[in-house]
Amino acid sequence: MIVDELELGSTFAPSTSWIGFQIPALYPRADIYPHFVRPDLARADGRALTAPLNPGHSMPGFNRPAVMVSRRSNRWDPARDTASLKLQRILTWFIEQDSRSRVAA
Amino acid sequence: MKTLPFIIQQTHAASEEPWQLVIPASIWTLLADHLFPGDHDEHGAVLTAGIVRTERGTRLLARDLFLARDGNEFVPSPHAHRQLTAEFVNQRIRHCRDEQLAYLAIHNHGGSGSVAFSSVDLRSHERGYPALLDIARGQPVGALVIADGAVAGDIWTPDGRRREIGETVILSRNIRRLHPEAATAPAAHREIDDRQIRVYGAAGQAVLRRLKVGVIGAGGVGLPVASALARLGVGHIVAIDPDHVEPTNLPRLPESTRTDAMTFFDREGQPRWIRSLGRRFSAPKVKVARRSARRARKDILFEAIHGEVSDPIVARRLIDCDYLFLAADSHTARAEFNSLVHQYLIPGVQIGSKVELTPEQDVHGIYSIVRPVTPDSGCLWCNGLISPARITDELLPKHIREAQRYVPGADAPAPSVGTLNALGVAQATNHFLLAATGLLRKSTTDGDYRRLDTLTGRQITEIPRKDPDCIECGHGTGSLMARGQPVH
Repeated sequence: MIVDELELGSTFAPSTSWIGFQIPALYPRADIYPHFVRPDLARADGRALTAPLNPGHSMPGFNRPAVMVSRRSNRWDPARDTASLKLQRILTWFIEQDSRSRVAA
Repeated sequence: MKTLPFIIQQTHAASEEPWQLVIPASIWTLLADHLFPGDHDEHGAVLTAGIVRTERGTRLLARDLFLARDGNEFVPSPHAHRQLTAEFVNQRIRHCRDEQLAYLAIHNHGGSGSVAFSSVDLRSHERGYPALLDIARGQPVGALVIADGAVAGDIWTPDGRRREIGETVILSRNIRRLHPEAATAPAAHREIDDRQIRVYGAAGQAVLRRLKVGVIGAGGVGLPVASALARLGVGHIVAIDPDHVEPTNLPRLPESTRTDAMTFFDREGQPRWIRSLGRRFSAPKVKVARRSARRARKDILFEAIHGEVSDPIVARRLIDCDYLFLAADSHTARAEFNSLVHQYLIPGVQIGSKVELTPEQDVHGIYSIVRPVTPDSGCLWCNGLISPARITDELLPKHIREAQRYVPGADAPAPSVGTLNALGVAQATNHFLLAATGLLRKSTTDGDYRRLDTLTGRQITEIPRKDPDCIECGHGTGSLMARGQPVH
């Protein structure tokens, strides 16, 4: 599954990306992770990407170069959690990096 | 391209009749209390059921029970003694249509050991069921009549046929099997079973012979389970495992040989390509399990499936089992097993052993674990025994999994000893045997998880938790409980 043109916040440049993920056969019993974003993603301040962002991967099934976003949900609840809620949490994480950068500055 | 699992032996030809009804103990208890309160009168109810069709026949899986209130929803009839009101029937048949479930109207008769519909009952079905079939839009409709120790059914299907319920299975402590007539005495037993039928009788031996039992995993736990089941006389076993025998498995796999593990190729100093050749040509574990079973029972129907239970084609081989053993330690296998138990109403048990090591790798604890899992008990999800993250991990391609690894060495093999595995195997197979042949006695720890601390000999029991909102074992609208084949 690939969702195009999502806003990641100003911490990153480019500030938008596609986000890709696989839905496992055992979904919703299985967590949705990892996610993948554009391969040229970088931090706007020039610092290197650090975990959970892992450059140099490709998205399985699409053979598309990507940065892997490794965010597991240890409290995933099959009765309530969904792929779209998890995507929202990933986007929130990206956007929160923006406010954290401002606090640090 | 997806690799199909290698099914080493196919099963027998398809057969359609008769249908079977499976009822969890909780539903049966409520129903029996309602039908037989001690007043020797007639009472009514409606049962909804999921449907599963396989080459072994068709099973109805009891899901929701609606008890009809006497005098209000179960009233005197001009045609019969009593009948369900039109409004009561209308609400339930529409529920069955919307939820894609079978509709079963229930009443009771007096007597014991056998039961049949009266001519008045059958005329009432002929008047009413064509219209109910129209409303149900493709779902079977029908009736059950229940007496003490006997159940009969008359099921109407959209293709214009009528089927009988040949057997009703009640998943209580002892698995009860009720029929319209008292069961006839089994044919003379075979001489090799002489000693064991002195424990559970020729009737018990005949029950074992008719059972189909699934064993998920054919390693240090699953292989001895399959072998024990064959020796007990279980007629049909399905064993599933994706692995081949490796030299380090030999101490824990009874009856496996060095040839099975191709130890000749896998020796220190051999070039890597030769060792890899040995691993490739070593025997699948399920093949060793089948060989062991056939040494005990030449005529056993043994499906040895060299594949992953997470593969839907493989899992489908288990949906009409009568009992399941989970003898694999992956969370994917746990999730599949848990779904099979609840979606298809198949009682089962998880067996494992756990060796706890200190950071210095000293032995801290050694446990043998047996967890019965039935449609009425709390499930492995409710008890935090399945990790969604671990499932995802297990399903990821290897290179992605390695890149995700937070703990170095997390893929290292777990400590394991064959004699420790044997403790859980013995406890679980004995529980199955006694439940299947009706010998279990009531106990305060019925259905509890059991953990034997082998260092102290202490038996620890734990009552499983149950979440009413669970999508597997809960009874909410979205729950998969007793759904049978996927409905959407």
